[in-house]
Amino acid sequence: MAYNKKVIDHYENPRNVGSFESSEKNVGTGLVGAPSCGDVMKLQIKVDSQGLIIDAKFKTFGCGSAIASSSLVTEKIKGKTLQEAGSIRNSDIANELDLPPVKRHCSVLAEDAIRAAIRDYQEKIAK
Amino acid sequence: MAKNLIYLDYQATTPCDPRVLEKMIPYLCEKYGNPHSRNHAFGWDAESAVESARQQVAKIINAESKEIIFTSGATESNNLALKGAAEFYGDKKKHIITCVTEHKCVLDTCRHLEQKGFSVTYLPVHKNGLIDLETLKEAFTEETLLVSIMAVNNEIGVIQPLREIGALCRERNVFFHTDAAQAVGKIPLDVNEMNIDLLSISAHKMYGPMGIGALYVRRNPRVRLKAQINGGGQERGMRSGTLSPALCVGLGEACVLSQEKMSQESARIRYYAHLFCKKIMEALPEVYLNGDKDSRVPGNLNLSFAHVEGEGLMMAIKNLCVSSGSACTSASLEPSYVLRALGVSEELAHTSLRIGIGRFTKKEEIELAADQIITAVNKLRDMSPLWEMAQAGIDVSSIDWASH
Amino acid sequence: MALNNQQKKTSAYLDYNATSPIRPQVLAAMAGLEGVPLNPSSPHTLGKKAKQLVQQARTNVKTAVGGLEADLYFTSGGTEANSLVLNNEWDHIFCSATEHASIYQHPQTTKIPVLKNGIVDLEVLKKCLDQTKGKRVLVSVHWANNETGIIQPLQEIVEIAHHYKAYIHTDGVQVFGRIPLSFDEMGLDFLSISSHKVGGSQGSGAVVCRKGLSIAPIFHGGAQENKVRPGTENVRAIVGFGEAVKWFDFDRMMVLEKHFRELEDKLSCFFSQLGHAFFVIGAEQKRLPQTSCLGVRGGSNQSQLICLDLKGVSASIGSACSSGAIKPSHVLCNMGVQEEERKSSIRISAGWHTTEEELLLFYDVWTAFWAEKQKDWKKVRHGKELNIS
Repeated sequence: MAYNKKVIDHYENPRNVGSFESSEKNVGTGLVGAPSCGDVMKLQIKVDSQGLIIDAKFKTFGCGSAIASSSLVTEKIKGKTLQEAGSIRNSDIANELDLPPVKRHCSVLAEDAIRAAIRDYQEKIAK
Repeated sequence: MAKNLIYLDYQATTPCDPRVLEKMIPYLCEKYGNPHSRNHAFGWDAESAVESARQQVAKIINAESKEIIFTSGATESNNLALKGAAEFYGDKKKHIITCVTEHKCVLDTCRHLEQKGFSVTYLPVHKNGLIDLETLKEAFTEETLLVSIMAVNNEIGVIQPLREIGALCRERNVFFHTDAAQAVGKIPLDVNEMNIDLLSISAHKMYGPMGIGALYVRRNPRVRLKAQINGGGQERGMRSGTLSPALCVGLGEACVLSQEKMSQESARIRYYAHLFCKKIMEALPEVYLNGDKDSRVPGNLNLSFAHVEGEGLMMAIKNLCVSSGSACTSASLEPSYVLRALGVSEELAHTSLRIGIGRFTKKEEIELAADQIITAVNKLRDMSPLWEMAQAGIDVSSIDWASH
Repeated sequence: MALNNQQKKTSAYLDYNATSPIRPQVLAAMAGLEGVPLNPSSPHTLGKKAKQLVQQARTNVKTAVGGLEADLYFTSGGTEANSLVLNNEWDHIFCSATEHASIYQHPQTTKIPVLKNGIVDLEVLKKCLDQTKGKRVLVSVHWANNETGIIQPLQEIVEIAHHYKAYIHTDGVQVFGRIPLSFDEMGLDFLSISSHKVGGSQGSGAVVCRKGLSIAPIFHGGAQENKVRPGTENVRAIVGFGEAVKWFDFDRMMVLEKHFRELEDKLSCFFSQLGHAFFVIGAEQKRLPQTSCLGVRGGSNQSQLICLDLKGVSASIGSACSSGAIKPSHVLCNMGVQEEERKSSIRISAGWHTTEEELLLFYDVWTAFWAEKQKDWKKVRHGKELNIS
């Protein structure tokens, strides 16, 4: 199974690797997957007062497709509103990276990570 | 081989030794003949080549040439040994003992036999991958027909106590089969001293050609098998089908070369393995060697790189041909059942690589490979949320992960 | 030995139905992979390359049997391919009485007699199938016989089998590469083929299986070949197989056929002049283009083969597969061929590398053998006459 060029690019030059201080008020953190399944994704978003995602960072434990999916997601959600970001579907990611069927769960995980991060941010704001 | 590739997957398959190939070529080119053709010189020539190859194979395990049956490979040998014996003696004895870390083809064959009314005991292994002899003793029953324990494990390289197992089996008149695909040519084997009754050999794991293996079948006391492939009655009626003289000659020569060079080769590989481990362990914390430290073949290093997923790691070292888990299962996403049987946690099992060092490995390749793995692991750990948590002192296992 | 002065070739290999020399293109394709460790299950670059090579070969071989719609599993050879199909759970297996040993000796088979012309008795087959209606039944009839080259009316047999809802398997080892095959079109369920009879290397064969039919493995373990045939694939031999089928040349086969029939005519002419009873088994039947089972009544095939071999001609009797003592051929017995002919028949079979000179050499050596013998006979007869008088 050969990897798609875009997957290789994101894997070799991952965008936005890193972490924000998760205790900060304007940071939402999503941690999805499980080590026993071989994938864990941590996605963080920084949101401004207008509800715009001004920055995003990720760390991922997993295969090349999982790393590429999370890297791509950070690029896609930057500058988007929470609602826009929340409407990204796993199929968008899978299609863009041309993931084979055995790797589609990576894109599902990425979608889950966005939602978890948004939920975390919204819960923080609500407090 | 393709440029820049470093081959470190000698357990999956080995390149055919050029000296083996040289012996095979005449039988591929001008000396074609069906060794079962009794009517012309081509056939006779082929037959005598096959018979001398049979002797060479017998010699490496101290057997008689009449006790060697050529097959298409170790999978067939293992199937023939287990099913052949079970189907022949099954009306008298219906119990088989094997071990949870056996090769898939032994386990799958045992499962098949269970469906046919046999009972199978799957012995557990210690943390070091070795079976417990006391547990084995307790597993024997009046019904026990056969014990099948592999000589050297394909994933972690540990050597099982063959001599002791053989003695226990002989005392009880139970057949002892060993899958020696990863052992022949790497460790000294003697079917008589070790009381082995059936032994499986694979050529492509020992620098011979693909598509051929052998099964040793003891003649005294005699072991009888029911054929799995019917037909012309070749191979003492136990395995029909046209033998390939070229492949037989290749396996024979592979045995000769391995036997000649065994101690020398094993010393060199041991040195390289030591070099590799030292380099890795000094540069990287939290790397674990799976399987017993002493009872092992030196050319198999199964290492867990905590918090770095194996498949992701393999992608970072694309020009290194290594394996994550066994080659037969690593296409699937499940962690290796062998590592799980050792009690390695699922998390850690996902982070393991098997590095296979062999006859044609060079010192520079070892050093280059270690450097590349170190760089890749560091990069991926920087990217790993689990590594981050571990560094912050968070116990990863304490988190309630939503498994998917 | 005056007959020999025109020969160019000093040896003739005429035993292609036992095994064939490897084509140079196949050797080249395989040699290109030497020293490269290739296990298609390995996850790394070389493993992926190995997988690709196997898939390419699979497509080539499928194309060669006209089975692009079918599944194809590589095995270690024709015998294993036959066993793989027969070892499934069948209530009944009906095979012809002239099958290859790998089928003929399978414990579960019921033999359908063949007529004197070597063709399966279709009426008996129909009766048997009628009696086993509703059961899981396999009909296994070889496409062509290895000893006589006689071709069965397979299309008709397929239709009969399917009419009775039975499955149809054919051992196609001997027709493969000799006449064009069309697996899909024929409506076959299973087909066995082998690589080393057609210029590939030994150690590779295949089962072709109609899409949707499942097939239970003989060996267990590993997910190779869709679990039908586990064990590390013999990548080199498979690549060789895929290469060999690219060079099938049916025009050449037609030329060979012409040479074979001419040879038979010439021999017939020669022996009638000597006053000997020359015969060709299945002479009136549709036969393989490159196989001839022939003899002279009253001769001994053993001594003829020794003589041929000493003169560089490799021919054969019966099937090469029965190791050990040479047993009388069940094929000729079951066709009702008389003992006199059975004991004196030899088989010549040709292939991709056979030249007309080789056939001429056979003609020269064999006729010389009989001419010599004729002299001896005459002497004996003459002597006897003298005694009487």
